[in-house]
Amino acid sequence: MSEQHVVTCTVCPNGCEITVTVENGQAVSVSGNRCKRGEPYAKAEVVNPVRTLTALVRLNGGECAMCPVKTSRPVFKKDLKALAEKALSITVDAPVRCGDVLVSDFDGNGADLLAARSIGAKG
Amino acid sequence: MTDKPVVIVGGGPAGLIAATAAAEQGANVILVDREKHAGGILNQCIHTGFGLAFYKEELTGPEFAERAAASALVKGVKFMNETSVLSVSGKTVSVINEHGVSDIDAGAVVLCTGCRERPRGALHIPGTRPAGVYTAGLAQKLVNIAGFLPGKRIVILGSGDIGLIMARRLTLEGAEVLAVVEVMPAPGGLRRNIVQCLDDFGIPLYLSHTVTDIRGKNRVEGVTIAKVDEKFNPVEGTSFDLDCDTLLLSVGLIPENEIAETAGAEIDPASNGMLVDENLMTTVDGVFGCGNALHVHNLVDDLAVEAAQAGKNAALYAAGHVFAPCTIPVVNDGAFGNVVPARVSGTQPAVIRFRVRRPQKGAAVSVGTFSKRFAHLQPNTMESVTVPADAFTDKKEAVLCLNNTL
Repeated sequence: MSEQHVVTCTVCPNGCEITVTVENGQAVSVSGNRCKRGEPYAKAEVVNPVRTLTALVRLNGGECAMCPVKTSRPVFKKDLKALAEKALSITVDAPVRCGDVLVSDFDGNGADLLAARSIGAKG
Repeated sequence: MTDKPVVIVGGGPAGLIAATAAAEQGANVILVDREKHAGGILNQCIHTGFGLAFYKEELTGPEFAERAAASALVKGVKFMNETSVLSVSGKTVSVINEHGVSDIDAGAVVLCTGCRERPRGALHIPGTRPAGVYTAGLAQKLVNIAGFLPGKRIVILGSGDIGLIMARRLTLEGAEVLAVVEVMPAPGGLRRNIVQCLDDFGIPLYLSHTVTDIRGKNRVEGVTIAKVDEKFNPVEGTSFDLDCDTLLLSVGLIPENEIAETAGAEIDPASNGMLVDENLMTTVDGVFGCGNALHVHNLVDDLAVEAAQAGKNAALYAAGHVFAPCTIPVVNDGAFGNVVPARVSGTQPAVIRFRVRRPQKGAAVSVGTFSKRFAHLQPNTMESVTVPADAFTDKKEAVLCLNNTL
């Protein structure tokens, strides 16, 4: 049996409405995507949705109190809240450079936690 | 002639990109910014979704800002940080910083002063005046830069993109977002933000609803929400209370043009944006404007294209280039909320940017002999058309028309 799901693509601001055909728990085809990046997104969305997490870690001795971070690749949507909470429990020392790996394998599935802004030390 | 600098006012994305574009033309460029670090509001927009068109890569706000600032530096832009512009008179830019007040004699000026959030005072919400009512952008700064959570139980009024983004941010940082309340029948923010910021976390969105009362003495204790009719009046018998400690307002952005006013630039009373011609020059000779100070953009990538045009033209002007006179007014047929530019020359292709007032399916936007069909047009999305010079057949006015083609 095949069934169809409509998902709104969040990969880019176009926000395409993509129809995914699922057969036996497998996403077999997609339609309605205006670019090819919509296909893997829509297929994952009906099977096991993923998102890039952006969050904050605390910064010690920096020009700002917080340093924005992101995961190096998308993580499971169901883990977002727990991972954001985990990020907030981390304190790193200033200075940081944008792109620094702050935690490797942050989610247990190979996504690293990267600094997303360069922030100097205070003073 | 060419020795006088192009002065860029504002170090957000519009300012950084305008400065880079001006420097690429060989101009001597000074960027004046009141903040210590360039990037403007991007530094507090820690979510992704920036740069897909401009840098061909999905970036967070701070990453976009860092790249834009690095490009400006490489091209030789001189930064005057922690410096406020007091006024612009002719092409003299008066600034103040820790060294005192000084004047810069500019060859051209680009105003990139961004926008401000509409505050509670503009909304006429009845109730008490407790602590705990914030604009969404202020809450964003508190959370993402300062590391404070503004509250634990939060209601958001308005479904603009910043409000939606903050619903997700606050949820991820440990607060509970009880509801997003939108007076219009459709969300103000992008569809993708409804999905990834509200639906992902099960946050309810109440369309055609508004906040009719704010309760609490020292701190917000709760709000009353009611359904509204087509005239946006609350419908009796539909109200309900939510106990919360914080109300965020995401109810619109207004171009910030105090400096443009000191220069004597004409402001559009409807949008509060500067009136510019097809070269993005204001009504003051040699003073240009771009970015959210002109009209509020959805995407920094679109804003970047506009800012680059303004920066390039400012450099050309400073080098002595004379633009064709823009004598043809661009007239809105009434279907559009906002149209930029206000005047064109009819001698070169002109980019016309607009928003429709009401959602449209299968509509054509036309000017003179030019027409372009759009499958969808949404009031929450800015669109543009590039109109060739020979389409401006009427030299008295260029009417931007919306025609339903279904």
